[in-house]
Amino acid sequence: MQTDRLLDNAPCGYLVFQDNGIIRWVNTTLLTFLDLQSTQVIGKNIETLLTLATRVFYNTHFFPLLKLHSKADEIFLQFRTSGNIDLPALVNAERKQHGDEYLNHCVIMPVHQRKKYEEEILLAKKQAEHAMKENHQLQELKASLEKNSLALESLYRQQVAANESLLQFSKIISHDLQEPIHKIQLFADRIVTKEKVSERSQQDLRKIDKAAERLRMLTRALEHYIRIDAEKSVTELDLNKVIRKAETQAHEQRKVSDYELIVDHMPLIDGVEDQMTLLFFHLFDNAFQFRDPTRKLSIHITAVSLDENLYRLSPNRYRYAEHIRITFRDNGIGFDMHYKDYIFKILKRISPSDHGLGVGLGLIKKVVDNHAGTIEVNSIEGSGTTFTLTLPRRLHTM
Amino acid sequence: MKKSVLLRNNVKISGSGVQPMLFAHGFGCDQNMWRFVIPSFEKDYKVVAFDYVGAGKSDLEAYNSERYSNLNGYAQDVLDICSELNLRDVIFVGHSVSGMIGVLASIKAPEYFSRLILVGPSPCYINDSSYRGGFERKDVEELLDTMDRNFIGWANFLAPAIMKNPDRPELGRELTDSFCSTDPKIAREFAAATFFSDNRKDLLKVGTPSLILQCSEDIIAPLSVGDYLHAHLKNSDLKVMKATGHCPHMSHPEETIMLMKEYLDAA
Repeated sequence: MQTDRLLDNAPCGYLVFQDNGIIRWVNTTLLTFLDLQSTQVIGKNIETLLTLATRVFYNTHFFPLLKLHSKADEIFLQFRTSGNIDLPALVNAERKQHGDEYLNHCVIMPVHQRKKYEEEILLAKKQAEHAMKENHQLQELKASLEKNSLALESLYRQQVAANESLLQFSKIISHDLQEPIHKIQLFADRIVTKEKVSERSQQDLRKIDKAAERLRMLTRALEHYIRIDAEKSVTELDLNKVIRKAETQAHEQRKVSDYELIVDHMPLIDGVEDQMTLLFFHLFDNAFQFRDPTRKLSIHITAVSLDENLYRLSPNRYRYAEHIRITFRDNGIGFDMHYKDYIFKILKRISPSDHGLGVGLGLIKKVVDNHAGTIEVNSIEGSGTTFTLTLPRRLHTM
Repeated sequence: MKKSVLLRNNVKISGSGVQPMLFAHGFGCDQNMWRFVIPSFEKDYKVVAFDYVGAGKSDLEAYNSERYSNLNGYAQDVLDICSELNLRDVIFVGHSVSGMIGVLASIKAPEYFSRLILVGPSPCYINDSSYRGGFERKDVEELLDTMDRNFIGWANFLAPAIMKNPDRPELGRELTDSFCSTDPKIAREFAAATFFSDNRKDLLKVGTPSLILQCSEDIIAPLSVGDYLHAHLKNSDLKVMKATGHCPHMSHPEETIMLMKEYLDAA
């Protein structure tokens, strides 16, 4: 009996293919399994015999494995017969050198029955794994819930106390502090207008008045900073409208008109309207204030949507959700990046010649925090500043 | 970050050039996939190759199902490496799903990247009304099932190399190291993250110029997908390769290298 005839009719499929997938030889048993003629198989790509999903597996796992390892055993592949019926099979393969080329030899064993057992095993395995995982997750959640609820309680207590003192503080600066400031200004003014005082004293009194005025503005700004949290109703905002409104307010305040504003397409975003308007107001105000007198101010606002992790403080927690990244770029005088962490602190000003109160950037930071976002600043002295805000598209709670 | 990113992602740096080329492997393997291509770029570039967390010799302890069930989690690996090595002007070379991972990374931090080279990329694998991704949902489900079946006896995937040379265990270890060993659970989650992804809406946000290397007869990323990408990625070049299949960098490294060099030289 000839050995190749034995192989041709062996009780398993046999297939030889080149590295490029072209089939060189196939035995009669496999042709019978697949219900095909040898002319329909020889010279064709092995992929034509596989289901689409198996072709993916062939490309990403089976062939790389065979090529790198010269061997792949007990691989489950799904063939497809000429009648479009799935033929589940186990394959053992070896890559062998024949002269100056490599050929891949496969033994193919249909596993109709085994596939059913496997299905049952897999199902049971998955159910068990699922139950294990859920159990494990529940245990973990329970532990962290207990831990967190105590921490939360403590945080809550601190928050209540902090709110209480903030309320008192707010009352002090909005009322109690205003009164003495008002009196200082009133009496200084009275002395200047009513009494005969020396030129020198008049100058001093004007300085007192100016300092008191600045004190009044500062307390206003502080009050503003504390009050910002009062309004909390979240709605879906049209950023375009928010930006235009803030621009108008800033423009009226600073009386700057010779500038160019380019606003790219702005998406909708959840937020507190007053806070967001205030945020852009201060961005504009900042740009107006620090414009470069030697060139026309140009402001460019862009937005792009991307997915970022919602968890920013919890380690190892991930939930990717849509965020909007807004960049606000000007061609102003810029600042030394040395100060980049300093500028967002309330009442900080970079230079003594800066006439602002230093509240603006602190407010921006606070609004961003309130909206669960992040803010970064990049500046080049002499060429401009870019603020990059990344805010969640949807806000669940405030 | 607790552990160094370089250890976590098994980052390997080679080459004598200055401009970094960052090689990102696709689904189903690790940085070894690039071994036929990398040597050709070592003279002119600083070559950085790595394994995504969960693949190859990365730190499996760092694997987090929540993070890596989303391509953004993988994109964060790329950004972590760029940040850790302080890379600038990066030529990102991504195979298969790494094409879209690179796209996401370049949208998040465009300042790192100068060029994207996408080998067999696809923004969406599943057909959707007039869009032809090449797969129906049931095909993807069958693929996940095929993976499940092959990973029942996962030990068999790794064992023979070692068993074949019991007197020479170092050979077995070398072979095991050198091929795409992946934890089956992780591989399956990567498959689901890959084949259920839809990044079509992200393409228009990419500002970095790109080269699309499209294989002929690639079922994972058919020609129609290459055309779609070319039409939606600004400043993109499309090259249809003579190479067939989904892994031209393994099956046709010469053509892959030639087209990459041609693109980079013209840039």
